[in-house]
Amino acid sequence: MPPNTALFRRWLLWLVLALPSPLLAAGLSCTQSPVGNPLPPADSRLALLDEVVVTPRKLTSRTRDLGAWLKRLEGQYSYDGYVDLCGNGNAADRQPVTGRADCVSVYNGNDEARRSLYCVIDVRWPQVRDSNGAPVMGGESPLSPAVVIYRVAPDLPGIQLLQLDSKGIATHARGQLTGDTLTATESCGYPGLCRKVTRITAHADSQDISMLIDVEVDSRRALRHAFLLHRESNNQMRRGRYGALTPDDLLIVGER
Amino acid sequence: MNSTTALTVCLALATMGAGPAVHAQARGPANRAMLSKDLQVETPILALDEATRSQKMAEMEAWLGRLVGRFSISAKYSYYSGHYPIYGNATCSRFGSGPGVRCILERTSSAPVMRSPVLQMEGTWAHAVLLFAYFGINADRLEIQSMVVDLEQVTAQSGMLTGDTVTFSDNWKACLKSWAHCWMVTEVSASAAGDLVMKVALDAWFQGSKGPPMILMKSGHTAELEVHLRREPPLDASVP
Repeated sequence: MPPNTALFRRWLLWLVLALPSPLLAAGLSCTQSPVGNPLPPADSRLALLDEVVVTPRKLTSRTRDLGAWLKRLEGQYSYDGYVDLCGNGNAADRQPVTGRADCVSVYNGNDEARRSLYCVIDVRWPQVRDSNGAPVMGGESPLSPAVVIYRVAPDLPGIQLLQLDSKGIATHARGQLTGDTLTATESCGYPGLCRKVTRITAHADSQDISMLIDVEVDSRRALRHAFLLHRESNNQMRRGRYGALTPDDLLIVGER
Repeated sequence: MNSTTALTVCLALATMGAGPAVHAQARGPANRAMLSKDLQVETPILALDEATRSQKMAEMEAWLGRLVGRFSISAKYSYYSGHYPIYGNATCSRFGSGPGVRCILERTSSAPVMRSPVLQMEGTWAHAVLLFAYFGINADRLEIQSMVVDLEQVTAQSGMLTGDTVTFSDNWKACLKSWAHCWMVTEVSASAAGDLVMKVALDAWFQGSKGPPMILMKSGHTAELEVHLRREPPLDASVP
């Protein structure tokens, strides 16, 4: 390749990467500069979602510890938070989120290696389209409804997540637990130069769980889902032999 | 460079910048393979041209659509010294606004109590009375993804669609070895005629065993289940 051509391509690459994320947001008109925090005072706890600091700690590898962390996710939750359609942190580009989740341990015996969680969720935000009425990435919730299953993956060691969304797309991720935060990386479930990074923080004895789900395109954050789940209840299922669910209980997961 | 040229260049670059988000599928397979390596994404990505990819997606969506309906279940549970019948019913409906499907399979009657110690193990289909089976599209692998939730465990497998049949992996290593048993869907056929056939394999271990499961069938599994789902008329068929 002639030097001039190579130089020109490097310049083009730099210019493309330097372009602001609105262009990555597929025609969506994104705010160019940060604006003031529009979060209502009552939602100030949502500010915690902006950054999840993972304290450098040793990875959790013991199966029983992984299972114990997974058990923290049990319960019935309401959703709060936002979807940042441009991923650049500008509050004006955020769409408020509402929703609920019902998560139940499928196995509830003493063997933590068998711990698995079955969640039925319904999460919505206002639909957003571009100026021509065309869909934009993240502009419509694919989580209304969706089913997510988590299970301990002793070989990782970590936790495996599988999701089927309302568009019929199934995704699979394996994550590792550091402290109270599970970090999982996967492809987006859609073709392209894209990956999804999920961080779930669940502290012991807390009623809140934070979830940050970032979609990165060309290593740049193009979309952020920042969910704060508040446990409304934790109705325990009746259990049969060896901690198995009863048929009646399995049928009502997601309906409570 | 005059201002018009500069504007044109900027617009062109803007279009390029927008590409990955919206028109990512237009990129070639070479780029996707490279991305998979660079980002250490575990899921393998098929190197297919866009036309082939779209065709496969359409085939999978059509296949998933065949699962929808009400069915009566007639199943045969085979184990090392014989077999016995299981009966039940199933309802498969759309899950969400896409091609995803959720099936609820419910056992209504089963065999008499078995004396085999293998079949007494918890988790065999002899004990299973209800399960949820979700089916969707694994867009990375371009395969059908199944997720099964029953009263005491979850399983998930991805399988390729060929003709009317999706064949899933039956590798017991996909099971968590600490389990005393693991059953998995190995095949689902959905013919255009309307009926479904689902094959399930059961692997069982002695508690604490780290080796392969007890192989009691020629197939290499501990036991097998073949479920025939005969399509029933919709509930509202009699409504004028």
